Amino acid sequence: MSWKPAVLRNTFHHSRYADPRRLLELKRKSGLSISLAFPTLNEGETIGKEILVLKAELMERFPLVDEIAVIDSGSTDETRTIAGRFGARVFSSRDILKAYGSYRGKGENLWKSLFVLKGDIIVWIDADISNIGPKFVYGLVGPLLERREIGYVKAFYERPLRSVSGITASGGGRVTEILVRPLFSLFYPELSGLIQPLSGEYAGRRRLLERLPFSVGYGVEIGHLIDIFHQHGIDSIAQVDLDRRVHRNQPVAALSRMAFGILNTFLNRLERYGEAHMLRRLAAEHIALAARGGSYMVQATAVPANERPPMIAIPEYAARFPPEAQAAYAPAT
Amino acid sequence: MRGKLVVRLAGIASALRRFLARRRSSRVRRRTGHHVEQYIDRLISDAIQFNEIPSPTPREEQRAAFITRRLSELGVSNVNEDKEGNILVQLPAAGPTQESVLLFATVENEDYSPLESLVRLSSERASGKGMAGNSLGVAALLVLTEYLQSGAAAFKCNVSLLFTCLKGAGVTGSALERYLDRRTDDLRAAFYLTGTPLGAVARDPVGTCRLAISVRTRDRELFASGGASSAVSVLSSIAHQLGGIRWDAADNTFLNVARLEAGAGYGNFAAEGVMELEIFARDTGRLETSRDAVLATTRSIAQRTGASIRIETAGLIPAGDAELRRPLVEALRRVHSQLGIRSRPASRPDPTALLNARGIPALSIALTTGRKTFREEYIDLPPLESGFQQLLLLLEAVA
Repeated sequence: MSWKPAVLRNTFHHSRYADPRRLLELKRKSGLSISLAFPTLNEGETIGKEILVLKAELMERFPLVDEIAVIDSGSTDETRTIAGRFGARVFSSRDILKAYGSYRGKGENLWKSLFVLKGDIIVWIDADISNIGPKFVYGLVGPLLERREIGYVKAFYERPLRSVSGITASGGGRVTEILVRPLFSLFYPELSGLIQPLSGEYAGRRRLLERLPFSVGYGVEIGHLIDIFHQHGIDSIAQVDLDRRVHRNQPVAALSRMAFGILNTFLNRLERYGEAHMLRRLAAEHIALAARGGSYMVQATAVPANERPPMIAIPEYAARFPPEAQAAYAPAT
Repeated sequence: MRGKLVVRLAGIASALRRFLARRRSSRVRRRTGHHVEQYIDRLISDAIQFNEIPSPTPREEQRAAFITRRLSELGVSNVNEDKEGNILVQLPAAGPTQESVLLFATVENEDYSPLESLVRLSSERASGKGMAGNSLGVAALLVLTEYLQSGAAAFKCNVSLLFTCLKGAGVTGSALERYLDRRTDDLRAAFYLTGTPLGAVARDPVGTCRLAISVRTRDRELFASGGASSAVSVLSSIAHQLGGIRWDAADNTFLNVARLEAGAGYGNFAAEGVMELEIFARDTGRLETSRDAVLATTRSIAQRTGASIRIETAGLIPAGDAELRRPLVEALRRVHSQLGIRSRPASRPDPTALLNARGIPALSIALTTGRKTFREEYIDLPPLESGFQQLLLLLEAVA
């Protein structure tokens, strides 16, 4: 097969952006500001290091990033104290845009972060990375500073898993390979060129992100990709190789719930864009079975499928970031 | 509810400790005139990033790449690398002089583990294998370069900063010794930077000889009777016999079994193993005599059990020269007193004795407190500012 997904043309290695002075010059010329945010829920083990390393390197030594914030979902460990200690602005998700209520989920934190962050470029990084380094940020920001037509950049990497027995050399990305890649291959072959479409590290231009609806739960990443593909085309998406990311392993039961949330968002998008039609209402609960004492117990878990509207539709946001102040993101054609 | 209360109380205690540390630091800053607080997070950040780079690798190339990239980012042009892996930065004195002060740190981490060397950071500690050792020393040299590059201090002597390696010291020749063989400058003093323990002053360090004893016995089925002794039996027998040796001067010689590893786990006969030993002695002559005794005992046990054995001398560091070190010891104590650091004598081995043996006054300096045990290794973050100030004041005193 000679066809290649177009996104492979927008695939870079982080080393392309390793010269901080070059990036600073690109930033200065563009006049853009950059915000970095971590969505957190009980990440006291790793959040301190992530903030310290990225702040020391990319705010103090080389001022590429203008602010670092943590959007917390109600951690009961020391996440908030540690984040504040190492210099991040710490927000409680439920205190942001209070009038709009609050959901629990990573997507909710990302959506609300758009309201409190000030930057023109937003970088989101998961808070459970054990081997954090500056490349996680400059790798994602680089294509946005270098190429105006790119509006959204996703990370991909080798994914060794951190477990009690040490680091497993390969693995991870199971939901991608078993669920998302087949779905993309069937419905959106253009997006199948994304190596890790579910990676938790990505960056985008505010003017693009504010026009996206946000799934509050697991579907936020896949929702973004399909929406951006429809709204701006595949050439607005890039991906960056960050080499290696060490993170916690997730049990299969958790991955199953994650897959449920992702599939829910995916089917929702198919319907929204007129690409498929659901003949029945989708169930709201993920059902698992557990064997106990010779019989099987049903474990039903509600997986949030709620969606937030594009942030630009929120009047408080529009007042804070007036649409006329900067044109909407429009990729070069 | 109770959990939340505990977290909150811990948070208050931690904030109080940080407040007290900040107050102490600001007093120190007023006294010393060095405002280094903004450099401390960079110091921790560099130590973390460096600690997570795999080691050992050939010529420690990955770690060296981190150092040279950082130096290049800082705009340091006077960087020399040699084929042994030494990286030298020379910062010239305010005026013309041939005299230099050397600060050096070692880049290798023999305990590196892909999992355990990933650093975890709490408000007050950084934990991970290697953090209490070399990583902080390397980071301190890099941040010191950054601080001096900013023009914050100038000295009458040239200041040389060396990133080197101690592997094979005193035996096959380490990268540090190769550098010392070739240097042409007039070294007034030298300091070795390491992680912990802050306040320790090695006035009269003992010498050390490190041995690695590898044992291999014949493999056999677990339940076979009358076969070869296992490597575990042979190594524990060696350790037991060596523990019973009567040294000529018991208070001046000491033997430490540093590590003992054998076997391939459950279900396997332990046919292979390794033991790391170190002998400490007050003078180099005793060190060599003691080493000969250890070698003879070990070989005799191996012969008796039929095990094949290989003994390697992994390192030999002579005892330090107390007289040569005295002016630096006094200067360091004055600095400790000025900064409120609790100064205490330590007589453990010190790599700077390799420089003493060449007539160079030299001393080790640690940057913070911390702990290294079988299960955990960490450094404390609050004392780092005092630890870094200590370097600057010491440089002012001798350079």
